[in-house]
Amino acid sequence: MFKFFSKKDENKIAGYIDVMTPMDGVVIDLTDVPDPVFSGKMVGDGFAIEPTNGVVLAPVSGEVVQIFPTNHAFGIRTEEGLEILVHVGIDTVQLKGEGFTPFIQTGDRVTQGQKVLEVDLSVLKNAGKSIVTPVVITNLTEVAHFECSQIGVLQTAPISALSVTMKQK
Amino acid sequence: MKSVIIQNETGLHARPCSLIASLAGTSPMDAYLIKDGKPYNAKSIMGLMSMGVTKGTELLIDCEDETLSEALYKLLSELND
Repeated sequence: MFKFFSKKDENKIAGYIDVMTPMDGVVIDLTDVPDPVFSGKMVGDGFAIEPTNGVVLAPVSGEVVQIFPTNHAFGIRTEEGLEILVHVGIDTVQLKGEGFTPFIQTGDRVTQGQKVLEVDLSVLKNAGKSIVTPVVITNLTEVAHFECSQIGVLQTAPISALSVTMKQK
Repeated sequence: MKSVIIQNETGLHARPCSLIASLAGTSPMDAYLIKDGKPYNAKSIMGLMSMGVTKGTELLIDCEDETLSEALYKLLSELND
C-alpha cells in the first residue's frame, strides 16, 4: 500500500527508487535485528534479511561508495542520491574478512541485482555471529518518503522490498 | 585542529560511524574529519565509512563548534569495540 501525497506536501518527488532484497531469505523488521545500533535505527532505516544462502546482490544501481576493508559491509549511492548500506551479519567486522569474498571494489559502478559479495554463512555461525543482514538508508534527511513492503516474506532475491522517494533539492 | 589516532581494533566500522554522525548532527555547524588531507563530512554515515579508517589512522577534527570538537575528540579517542 502506498501513501498518497497531499497537494500541501512541500517535499516534491525528485527521484523514485525501488530497493531490492540483496539476499534470499526472510525479510524482517529492522527493530528485530539483534543489535541496538541497527534496531535502534542509529545507522538508518530500512529492513533486514535472515538469509538462507550467502550470495549477496546489489540492492540498487549506483556507485560503490565503500566496501569495508573486511568485506562484510558495503555502501552504494544511487544517481538520485540515495545511500544504501548492506551490513552482512552482526559484529562481523570482528571476523576480519574471514568468510567473505568480494566481487566489487570501492568506486565501481554496479547494477541492481548484480552479485557483489559471497559470504560463507557457516563461518559466521561457527563464530557465534548473527547472520541477520540489515539493509538501511543512511541519508534519511534527503528522503521524502519510504515504505517497506515485504516484512515476514520468505523470498528469493532480488525482489522489491523498499520504495523510496527522494526530496527535491 | 585537533588530531587523533584511531586505536579501535576494528577501525571505524558501522557502529562508530553512526555514533560520530549522531554526535556531529547535534550541532548546526559543519564538522569534518580529515584523513590524508581530504575532508569527510562527519554528519554523513556513508561519508565516514568511505574513509576506510583502520587502527592507527590519524584523523584531524575540523569543526568551528568548540563543544562539538571536544566531544568528537573524546569519542574518537575512546572508541573501543
